[in-house]
Amino acid sequence: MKNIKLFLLLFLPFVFTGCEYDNFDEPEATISGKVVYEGQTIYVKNNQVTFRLYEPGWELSASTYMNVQVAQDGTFNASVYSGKSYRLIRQDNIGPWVNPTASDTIFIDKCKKKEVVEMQVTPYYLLTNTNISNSGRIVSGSCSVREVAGGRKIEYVGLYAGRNIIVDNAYNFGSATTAAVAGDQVLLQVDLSGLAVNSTANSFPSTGVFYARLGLKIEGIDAMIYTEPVRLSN
Amino acid sequence: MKKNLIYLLSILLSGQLIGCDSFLDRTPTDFLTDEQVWNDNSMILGVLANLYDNVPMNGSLQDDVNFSLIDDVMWCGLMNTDVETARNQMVAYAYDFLRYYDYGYIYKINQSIEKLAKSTLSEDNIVVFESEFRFLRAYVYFELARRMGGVPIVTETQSYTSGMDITQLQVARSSEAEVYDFVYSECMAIKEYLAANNGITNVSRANKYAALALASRAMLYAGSISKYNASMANPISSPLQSGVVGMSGTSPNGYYEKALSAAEEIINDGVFQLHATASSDDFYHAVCSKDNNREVIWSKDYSSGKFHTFSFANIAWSMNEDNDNGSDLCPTLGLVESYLPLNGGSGRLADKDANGNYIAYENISDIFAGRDYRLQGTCLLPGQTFKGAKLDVLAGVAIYQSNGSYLLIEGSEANSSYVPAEDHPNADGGPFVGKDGPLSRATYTNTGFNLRKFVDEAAGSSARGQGSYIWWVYFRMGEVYLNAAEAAMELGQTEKALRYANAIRERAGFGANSWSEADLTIDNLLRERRCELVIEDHRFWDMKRLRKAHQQWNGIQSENTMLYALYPFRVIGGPDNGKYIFDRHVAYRFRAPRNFRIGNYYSSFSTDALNKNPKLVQNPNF
Repeated sequence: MKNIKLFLLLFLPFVFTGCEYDNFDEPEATISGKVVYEGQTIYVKNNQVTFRLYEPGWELSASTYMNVQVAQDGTFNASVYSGKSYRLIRQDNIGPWVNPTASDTIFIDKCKKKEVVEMQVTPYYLLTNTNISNSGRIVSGSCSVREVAGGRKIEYVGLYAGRNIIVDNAYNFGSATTAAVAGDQVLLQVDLSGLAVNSTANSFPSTGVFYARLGLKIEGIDAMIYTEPVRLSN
Repeated sequence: MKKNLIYLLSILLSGQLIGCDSFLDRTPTDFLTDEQVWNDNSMILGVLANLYDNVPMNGSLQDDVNFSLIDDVMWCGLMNTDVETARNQMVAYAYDFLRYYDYGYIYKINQSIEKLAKSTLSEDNIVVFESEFRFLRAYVYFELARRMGGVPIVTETQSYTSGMDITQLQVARSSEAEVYDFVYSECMAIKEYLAANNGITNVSRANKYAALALASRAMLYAGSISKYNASMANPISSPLQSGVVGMSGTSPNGYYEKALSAAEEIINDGVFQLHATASSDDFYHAVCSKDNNREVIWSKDYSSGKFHTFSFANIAWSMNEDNDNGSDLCPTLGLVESYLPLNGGSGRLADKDANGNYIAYENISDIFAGRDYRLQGTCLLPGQTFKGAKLDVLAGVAIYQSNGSYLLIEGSEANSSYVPAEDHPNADGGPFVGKDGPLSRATYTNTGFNLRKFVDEAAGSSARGQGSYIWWVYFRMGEVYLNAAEAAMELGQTEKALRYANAIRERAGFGANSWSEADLTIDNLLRERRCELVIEDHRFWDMKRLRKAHQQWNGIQSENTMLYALYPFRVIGGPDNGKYIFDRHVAYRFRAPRNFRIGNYYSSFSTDALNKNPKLVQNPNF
């Protein structure tokens, strides 16, 4: 009996010590930031646009990267290690902005605990002077299409209304689109009066509160550029 | 003492290290030597059989799951969170979807060709075998090109000896055009030698016309990618290495001419012919029956020794010969409506009139009457007979309301009657849900239709133990005619395009010369391909090569992106009592619209492949 206790006393400590190799520290630092153009936030579809985060200096660094997802309000963040170096890179044709050049790479050397960066982009087009309002469950949106870099064909401009703040061309309960060219003043209306009022996914919320925003689609690029979601109530 | 021991040991040991020749020089019993394999016809056939069995496929009779993602069928089988997330609720095609990069397979082929060169067999034998290996290699390169774009072309085995410069073994990507050209030139070089295989049972080995069919398909792909990529608003190209994707810098006409001439050679030689059909059964047999079949050019054949469970997995519930199986893949309403009425008009089924009121039908099958033979040759519709049973599809009852509308009540148990209960005391006790559903659960159709193509008629074929021996069709005349028609149309050769397209349409029941010049559009030809070649692994690639995929499957809920069902209801009360009305809606289990992004046009290379070969560049747009 005593032997067993002695045995346990001797060997239990080993049970609770793992070997070094599988015990990595969890990432303790974060890189966070925003997509901006001239200090103005660029809104996109939630989790559609990605950036790539590389850590240079390793043998396989060139092909190993982490995808950083961009949220609907243009923010992104990644968990990393402080003190290390990172490169944040955009990809061609991912996002409604001009393709990056080598000088657009964001260098982060000796990463701080809370590293904040700005992803500067030049959008092809911007929606400005936006105004979205609701009257009797008919949502009206207006904006003008401002050409920034231009040079691409605009597929359409759309107005999207949805139950919550994540509202875009796929997640919505009402939408309207129209063709547009640069410089146009766009007016759109979505009629939500036909929707049932209850708590299921594609119905009008009984609280009467919903969100809407405008978006612009460029031909040949999946990601659209959006405006800030507006909270509306019935 | 010690010294003696050492002497003794040294004497004994030296004895052990000298083997006698005759003892060691024996034929190994656990593997075959090169001489044994490559100087023996049946051994070489064994090597070939292994390679034929492993031809890369995107969906097959043994593994049919992918068809629910790449074709006009919906996954109606096994239902759990993982399966639903991957199939019916797939948010978007992954960027590595259908990635294929198997140079191990190509190595085996290259090795076979090299070993075969040293064989002592007669020259005639060798050249046929060699051509088959080269055919398989060409097919694999075609498969690589349509999934990945331009890939490294490796035609010799590589081996590493220590001290060698490893970079010599790293091959950079060829351009997409070079890969398609390679496929074509290989097919043209080997086709005459493969003529020796024209009479092979069930066309399970490559023959002359399989090589021509591959050439025709590859050239059609190359031509259409060249044409339609360039006409995109934002053509796909690689910033890292020009030409590896998008066929940039090529002109389509040369490819279309080659596609047309290869297809015409098959048609004019007449060894394989378009199977004449006068009914939907004939069309089914043209594709699925091996007896006296001259339609199919290259197949993956099965037998009682090597069978598959496609029938087990896809038989309609009321026709199954086992328990708890069937209806994994069911045709969608979108597919059914792409088969046009024989007397002209729109394909849309008349479920409602112009005022939005339901149209009642006397018989449940009346709504589908008078359509393209291929509809019932490919799908099983409500009321259609197959394997001695009638497909019994009924979703529930439609109660006539005093204001002229209907209250649709769906049942939840198959083969049930509408019997009185607390909330419907006046139920008539008649049929409620059919034996085949439709129900939103596994093993019953979820769309209101079942699959017929590749589902076996033979007794016992849908039972677990026996399985089905129906073949998989790689190439057949239906496709060859459509390739010819499309290539001729793109080249402006209207007369030829009409001749070939009308031949396909004539056997579908449309009568002679049903199309005139105005009907020759790429959209119409694409619909013909959709009807003719569904579940033969064409739809996804046709949408891709014509650069329509990102527009049609744009991730926004619509009739293009969602899979629809058509549920029949039995009318109770009102002027149409006892008749049937039909309700269309998105199939209940299908939740996420098909979402094909620009980056899906070319699958991504794995990080592993990029690490191993630094000369490889990643595909663009993700």
